[in-house]
Amino acid sequence: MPNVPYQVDVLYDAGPTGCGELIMNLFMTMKKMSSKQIIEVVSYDLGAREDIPAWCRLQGHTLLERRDVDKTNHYYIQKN
Amino acid sequence: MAKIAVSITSAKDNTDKATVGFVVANASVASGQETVVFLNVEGAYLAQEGYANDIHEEGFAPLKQLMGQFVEAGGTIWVCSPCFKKRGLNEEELIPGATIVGGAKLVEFLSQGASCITY
Repeated sequence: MPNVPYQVDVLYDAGPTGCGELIMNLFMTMKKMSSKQIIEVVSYDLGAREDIPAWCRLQGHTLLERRDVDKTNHYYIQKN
Repeated sequence: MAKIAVSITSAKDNTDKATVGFVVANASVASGQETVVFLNVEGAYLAQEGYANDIHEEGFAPLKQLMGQFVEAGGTIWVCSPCFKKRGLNEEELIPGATIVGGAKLVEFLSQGASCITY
């Protein structure tokens, strides 16, 4: 896991899932979280690089950053 | 400037649809509209470098030329991530100007008031 300057409350490994499947799983996972909590999403899906930022904008969540480790992307999202 | 999404679901299985989709997309971008071509289902093949080289529908410009003009004029090409993955296509061989996206990216664009036409 990358070293990040904030406390990750929930880890969600999306693996190779993408598109609507990833977004729905992320939605259901974040629904159980409290406001301001942070989730780390691990994804290998190419489309997620565009999708997760777009979904955060639509839902009003804050995408703190994306870190890439080889072909794996780590997204840090703070719930609104 | 309006937002226009042109969804293209065909490639060599229906070269007429693939071609007309880009003809309309070119009309849109050349008319000053913010235009996105969404390549999905079989249309995902069009995002692979070289694939469209031999598609030349009678009565139209070659597809490769239409696609090149679209990008050159400022059009955006999005490629459906699961469609691309399912067909075993290679990210390293994407055509210039194409980006792999999932549904949320398209939904965001549509939610901003984009009109959509599908081929």
